[in-house]
Amino acid sequence: MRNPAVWLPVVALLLAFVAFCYVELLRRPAKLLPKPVWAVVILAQIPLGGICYLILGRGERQAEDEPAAAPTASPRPAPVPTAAVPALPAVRTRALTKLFGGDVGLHGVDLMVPARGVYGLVGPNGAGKTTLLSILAGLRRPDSGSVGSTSRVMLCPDTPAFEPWLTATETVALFAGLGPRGGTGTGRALDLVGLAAARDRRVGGFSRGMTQRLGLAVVLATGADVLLLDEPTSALDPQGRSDMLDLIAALGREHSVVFSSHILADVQRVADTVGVLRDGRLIYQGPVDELLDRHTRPSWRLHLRSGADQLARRLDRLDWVASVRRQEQGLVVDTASVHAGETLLPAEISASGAELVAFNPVGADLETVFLNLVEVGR
Amino acid sequence: MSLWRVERLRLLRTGRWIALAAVFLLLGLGEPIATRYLGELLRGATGSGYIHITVTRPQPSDGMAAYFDNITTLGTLVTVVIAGLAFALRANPPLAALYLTHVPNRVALLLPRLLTVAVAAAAASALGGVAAAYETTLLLGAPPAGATVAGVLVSSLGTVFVVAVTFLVATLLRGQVATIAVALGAVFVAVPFANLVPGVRDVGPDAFTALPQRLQLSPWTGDDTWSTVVVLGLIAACVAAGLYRSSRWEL
Repeated sequence: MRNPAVWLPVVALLLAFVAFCYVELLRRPAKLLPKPVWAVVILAQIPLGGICYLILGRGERQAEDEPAAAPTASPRPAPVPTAAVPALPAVRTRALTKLFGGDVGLHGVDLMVPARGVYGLVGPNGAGKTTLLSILAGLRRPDSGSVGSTSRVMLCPDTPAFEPWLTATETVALFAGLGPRGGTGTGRALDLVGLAAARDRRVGGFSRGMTQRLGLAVVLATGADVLLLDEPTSALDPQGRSDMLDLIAALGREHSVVFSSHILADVQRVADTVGVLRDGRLIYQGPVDELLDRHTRPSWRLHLRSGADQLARRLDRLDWVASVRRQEQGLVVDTASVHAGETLLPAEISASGAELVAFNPVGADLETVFLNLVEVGR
Repeated sequence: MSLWRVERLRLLRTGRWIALAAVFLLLGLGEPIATRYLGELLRGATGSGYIHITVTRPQPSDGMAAYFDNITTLGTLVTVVIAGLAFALRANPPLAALYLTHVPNRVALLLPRLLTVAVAAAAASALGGVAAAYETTLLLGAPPAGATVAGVLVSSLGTVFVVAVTFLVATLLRGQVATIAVALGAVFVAVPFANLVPGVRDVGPDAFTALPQRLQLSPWTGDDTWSTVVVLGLIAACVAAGLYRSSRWEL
């Protein structure tokens, strides 16, 4: 053993290995065990302790949790080179069925997603939204029925995950490189979702909101024509959500965006078309406005200075009045038709002698309609 | 950024390459030393009492055989863990969804993972073999060159076999822990138990695993050729079955 050529390589390797493990332990968070315990394990079990630490205990460095920059002021993405706007729907399913035992799953879903615009997919938990998106993305096979698509489809999961040791730029470049050329560039995609400042940071340290933005950047950069976004705003703060909705609306001008969400106000804000799933069945599909018109009763808010009680008693007796509710500053009146509200109601107010300050139609909201649809179906 | 580069970065940035190289290098450098000084170590352990241990003078072939013996356990264990972590793609469904919707086919996604891990494991095994030959030459004398080269190549192919088995298991199961546990069971339990099948003992993967040690003492035989062919066939079968299975994946 006196010959250094014998022992020097072993000692040097062991020392270098232990030193490397300790440097890594100091620089990074530890997984499974606290750092002091790993420090003891590395030293007590050379080299097995260090090998265990490197494989199992070495965490990804956390970046400072800076708030992500807002998406760029003009969220309109760079135009993607595309052929002429196809007249066919971007995605169409026929009698799509996927059952997971019993009645759970999808039942004969005939989905038709227009070639441009935002399609909002809504439904209660367990309605089959994620299953439907998975089948559209090719991640699940239907039991029966067919899926037809004229365009390239990309899915962004609700909680996207990435290789934590890649930077944001590398992540977007990776997925962009896997798809056909012609998508929004890597830098541009990161700009659009407000991650320009974090482009060189490893994504292992990203917050959930930043990860969600990165998921959208990945989908943008791939050049897909149909973007399937599963709950894309679920992890964002109110400002981030608003920015993201603007971006989704802008994307709808160039792409076909299918957007599932529990937040119906978001869907109402950006979607042109809506599909309502309940118990795996598509119970409505069509323009949002048409849904609101068809399933909401005309309603009017009357702001009165006086005479509210008298007017309420008078309206209660009329057959074209569905309901009258008292409010702090007047009444809310549901009528059988828009015509009745616009023509007969003003005449009754005048005849009752009530002092009218304001007379406004109550805007229908998707949440009310959705609840009505789901409840009526049950 | 290609998938090949991502797989290289997976090894480099996660530090897994260091774990892989460290195991094989330390075994390669340490086993000949342990073999050379085994007598002194035992005498030191027994003290000057009534027990007298006589250890025969170690030969160069003993240094290499000790290395080949130890990498079949510790080296295999680390290789399975590193391969299992890389191959258990579906353990992280959101990430798997992104990959699977972006790649043209699943072979394009899995082949870089498989080959990168296989090449890294084989290279680490060969590196350890070179280190073992270096230390053996210094301490015990030069080992037989032909048997050493053949042993290093066979042991490297053995690590590729372990990687292929882990790949197949990963395509059948979802979780990382389950993949690693079942792959270890397959390598450490199923492979030796296959010897119970008549005719497998001399030409099966277990015989192939012991081949590098045996080559230090006896020449290459016809059965060795057959066991190599069998292992090559099993590697091809595991990869083909794994790729087929991955084409049926659902998330």
